[in-house]
Parts: sequence; C-alpha cells; structure tokens
Amino acid sequence: MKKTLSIEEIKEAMKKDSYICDNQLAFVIYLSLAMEKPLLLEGEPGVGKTEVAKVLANILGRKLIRLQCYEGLDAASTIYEWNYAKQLLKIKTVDACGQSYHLEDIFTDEFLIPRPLLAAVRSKEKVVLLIDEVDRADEEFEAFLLEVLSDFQITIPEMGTVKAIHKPLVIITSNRVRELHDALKRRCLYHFIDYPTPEREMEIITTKFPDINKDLAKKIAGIMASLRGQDFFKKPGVAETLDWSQALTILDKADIDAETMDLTCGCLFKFKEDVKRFQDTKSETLAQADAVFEG
Amino acid sequence: MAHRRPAQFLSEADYQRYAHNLIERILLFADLLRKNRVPVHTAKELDAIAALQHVDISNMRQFYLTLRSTLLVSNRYFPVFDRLFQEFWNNEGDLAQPADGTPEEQDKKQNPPEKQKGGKENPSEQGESSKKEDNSEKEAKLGTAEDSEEEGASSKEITVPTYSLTERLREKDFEDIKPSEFAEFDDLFKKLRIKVKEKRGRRFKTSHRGRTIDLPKSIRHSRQKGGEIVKIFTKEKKPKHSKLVLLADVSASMDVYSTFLIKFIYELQKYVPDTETFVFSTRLKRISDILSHHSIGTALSLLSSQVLFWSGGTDIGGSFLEFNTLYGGKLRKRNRILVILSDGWDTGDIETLKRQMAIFKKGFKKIIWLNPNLKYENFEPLCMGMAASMPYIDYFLPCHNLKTLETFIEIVQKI
Repeated sequence: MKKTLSIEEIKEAMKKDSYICDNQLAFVIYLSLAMEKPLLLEGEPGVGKTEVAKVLANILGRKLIRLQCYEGLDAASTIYEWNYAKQLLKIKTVDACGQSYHLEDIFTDEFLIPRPLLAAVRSKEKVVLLIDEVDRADEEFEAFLLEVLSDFQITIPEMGTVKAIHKPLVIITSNRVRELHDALKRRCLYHFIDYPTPEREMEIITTKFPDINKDLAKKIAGIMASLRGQDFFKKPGVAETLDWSQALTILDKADIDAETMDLTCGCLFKFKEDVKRFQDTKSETLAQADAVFEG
Repeated sequence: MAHRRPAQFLSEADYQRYAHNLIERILLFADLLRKNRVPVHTAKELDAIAALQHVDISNMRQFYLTLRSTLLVSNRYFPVFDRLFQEFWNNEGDLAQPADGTPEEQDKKQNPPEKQKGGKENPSEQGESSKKEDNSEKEAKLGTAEDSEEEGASSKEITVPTYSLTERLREKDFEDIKPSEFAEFDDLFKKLRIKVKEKRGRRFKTSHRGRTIDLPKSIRHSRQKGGEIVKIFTKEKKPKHSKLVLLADVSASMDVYSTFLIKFIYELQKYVPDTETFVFSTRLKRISDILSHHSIGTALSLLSSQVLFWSGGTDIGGSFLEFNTLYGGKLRKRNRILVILSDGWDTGDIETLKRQMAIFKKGFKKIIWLNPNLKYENFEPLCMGMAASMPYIDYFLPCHNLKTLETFIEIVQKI
C-alpha cells in the first residue's frame, strides 16, 4: 500500500470520480487518513456526506462496509451475533454421536455471525467503514461505537478481543437530528460540509452532466444559491440540484423560465408549503439568481 | 515531535524550542477557546498536536483547518473559533472560506468585535497571551450577564426563523399570551419532551434488548417445538419511574395561569404513567380521568362543566385535608412526588394547612411547589399559606412560562 495521498491527489482523484470537493474537505480527509482517525461529517441533508465515503472507497480501492443507522439498532445487528440455531445443531449432533464436547467448541468463529462493525475490524484487506446517519440510532448505540472508534477493536466476552489488522477508515455522518454524545465526538475529527458556493455547484453540475449547456448550469447554480437564501422548511441540497439538472436535460430546456420552474418544482421541494412558496416567489428568485454571479 | 517543514529551515536546537513553543501556544489557544465556552477536550488537544506532524504548518490555511477539525466538535463554534484564531495567531487573511465569504464573516469585518481593542498585536510572546487570557476572562465574566446576546451571536449560523419565534413564546409569561397565539402555543406544549428518568426496577419483563436469558419463557416456547429450545428469549429489568400526584389551584387568583397549567398537566399525564391529578379551590376534585381523554378540547369542556368551584376562593388547608382523608391512604407513597401548583394565597385555616403539609412531608418522596409569582425577582413567600408551607417544601419553582416548566421537568427527571 502506498503512502497516504496528498491533499491535491485526493482532490484530483475525487474529481475523477465526479465528486467535486473543496480544499477544506480534501484536507480533512487527508488528515483523517494520515492520523488514522475516524472522521465525523455533519451538514444539511443532501450535501453529499454519504457520497464522500463511497467515492473514497472507490479511489482508495477499498471495500466499503456500510452501517445504516436507525432507531432501535442494537449490538446484535451491528457488531456480531452468535448463530444459536447452528450451535444447537452442533450440540445435538455431538450428542447423537455420543462424543463429549467443551463449551468453548461452540463459541468459535464458525458460529459467529459478523455484523458490519466486526466485519470492518476483522477484514483482511483495508476497508472504508461508513456509519451513516448515526444520529438516527439511539444514544445507547453510540456506546457500542466507542471501543471500535478509539482502539479499533471489539471485545467478544466468549472469545476475547478482536483487534483490527488494518485500521479501517471510518466515516461517520450525521444530520444533527439530535446532538451526539461528547465521548463519540472527541474520538473523531470534525468537519461540517456546507452548501457549495455557486461556482463550485456549477462545477458539480457540469461534472455530473458533461453534456449540459454551460449557461444553463450557471443559471441553475444561481437559482440554487438564491433559494438557499430564502426561508424554506427544507432547503434544497446538492442532491436536489442534480435531480433538477437531470430533469432539465431530459426536458431539453436551454433556459429556465417561470413555466419550467412550475413543471419541475417537484425535483426541488418535497413539502407542499415549500412548493407553494417557491411558486409564489419565482420571479424574485430568477432576478436574484442573475445577480448571484455578478455580485 | 517531527514536524517535517520547520526542520528543513531550523537547526535542531532551534527546532526543539520552536516545537515546544508551538505546542504550548496550542494549549494556550485551546484554553482560550474553553474560556469562550467552546468545549475542548484534552483528547482533542492531543489530536491537534498529533496532527501537526502530518501537515505543513508554515501554511496558515492548513494550520487553521487542522486546529478546527481536531479541536471543535460542532459547526456552532466556527464563528467564535474563527474570531479567536485570527486574534490569537495574528492572522490577517480570511481563512474560513477563501472564495466564499459568508455573510457572518463580512459582518465581522465591518464591525470588528470589541475584543480586538484589548490585546496589541504582538507575535508569540508569553506576555501577550496572558494579556489575552485576562481579556477573555473578562469576557467570560461579562458573558454570563449578556448570556443571551452572545449566544445569539454565536449561534447565528444555525438559527432558523421559527426558532426565535418559539424561543420568544417559550419565555413569554402565560399572563401576556394573546388568544391569537394560542394555537402556536398548543403546538409547543405538544412538543415538550416530557420524559421521566427510568430507573431499573427489580422485576423483569421480556425484551429483545435484554441481556439475561428468560429461561421459563424459552422453555415454555420450546414445548411448542417438541422440547427443542429454538428461540432464546431475553429479559430486562422493568423500568420503574417516580409517579406524580398533582394538586392544582384553580381559585380566582390563579385564573390567568390555570388554563395553561391544565394543558401542561394534560401533556404530563399523557407521558408520565400513573399520574394523578386534582384541582382545588375551596374543595377538591380528582380530574385524572377527565384529563385522560384523547382530545384536550373535550377534556377542557368536561372540566368546565364538572368542576363547579373553578375561580372560587381558596382554602388550601381544607382542600389538602380532603385529599388526605379521601385519597391519602392510597396515593401517599414513597415512590410518588407531590406537585402543588398554587400561588399560596389562602383564606383558610393556617394550622390545618401546616398539619396537612407535615403529613405530606412524611408520606411523599418529594414535595415540589410551583408558584407563578416566583417570576418577580424579589418575591418572598410572605402570604400566610405560602409561609406556612415553606418548611415542608423540597423544591420551590416558578411556573409562569414554558421555559420554567421545562426546568420543572428536568428536576423531576433528576429526582
């Protein structure tokens, strides 16, 4: 495995994988790789937090192990679980053959079902571990993560401690539905992914859709910047920008007018109130969008 | 420590001193952050220092990002961090967003914070840093007084308009709330996160999360499968929570508050199991059943038709006596917390009140008295009823707005 990538290399490689990242993000990723520390990414929904992990796994040539968090997530579905049924069968078989057995015999690798965290720690090759939307899981769940994040090891009472052969690159994302516990935060590097600047957003659009008209991309970026300055219940993220750009490409539009905005508002807003607000303020939005790049 | 970059330019001895000095400065900086109420954990300081060997510290931008990503835990602190960083490390340029000055930063440039007047720009001298420290200490002290103001400034980035609105309503006295605001207010009540701390009891219940094997249940289940234990059930300790007994004063003097307090009690009863609620003025009535209706509208209209002494006079002692004789035996238990909502204005017999309070004190786990008049700064419990009850009360709290009610919930959680 070669030495850690430099900041520029990270940026370039991610760009090749059509992820445009700014210097700050590239730097934090570099630091996380160099220090072998987990990286906690926060930011509004749809700014590409999860995507970072996917792209990183790709450019580093590592396997991505993803743990999607949800309420009620427990140790059995995240770390490991004993295969009870198989253990029972084993005991039965041994019994039927009249052999004797030790209790340790049924607490071996053979009967262990590794879940994402254990899989990431035990993996023979280097991996990227993505713990997605950690704020959705219960607070208790964070406690499970602590051992993994600080020492990259997992303790299984019946077997002992499993230490990581290669420290995985851990990316944790959070939408800040609730505040994370300090113990978790202080084990990670922190970065907040903000909405991109209009220039960068334009770059993102043109990278994802190389065929798109440059002026249209510019206009889309301008409108997005203007929309994010307004008061919506849920502001559109980069994911929405891309959906919208795609929709406009499919419709073969060269320019955005009020009618197009009406037709495609479903790409940008998912709440009735927001859609209404968007339609009410179309003209102002368009006017502001033109000023974005000039200003 | 092996910092790649400086080593190229400095002699070994110089370098050692330089590195040492830098680490010291970083620790001082972390300290400065803490004094400005940015939480920085020791582990994070170590991270920051460890990170230095991977970065080009002669590059101010990298240095800035290194410290920011290692020391901070939330973007809420970015503005404060930026400000302090610029002051502490004497940095001129705008590091945060090179091509993208956020409005906050532009604001800052236009009106530099007063703090900058304090320390003269003077590179890396101990004296200077201690001066800064003094300064920040002053600010920290000032901060407590101007709490809300500073908070507002530092959380500018994350506030959304609805937030300030709720914030305002939360601190608004129930007395001043206009009928037009009732609807928003009801929403807020619904959003109150009422949760009583759960303690593990001694009894068990079956649970997926449990760690102990529920053998009887597993075996019972195995009988269906021909005696083979296929599924292992687990159990956990049943949670045990403190139960509440609420006595709400609905006499004329409490009129402005009682509607809101009843709404609050309604929510409370919904989330805290086994809450018993009574209202009293000259008499006492149990309203737990009425409040357990699904709609608060129905509950309120039933209340007005069934509680005939609403807005009457007050006989606290008499009502408490009635409570103790009729319900005391059943409800006065050491696992229950008694909450009295009253302003303490009493026309009844003080001796009776004292006697009843003494009985309460002996029977209940804790007594909390919520008094809306506590909002006045120099309020003293002088009225007879209040003065007589004071010695028996464990917690004496205000209850004139939502914020104070939240404090009350926090206290109940702690008990």
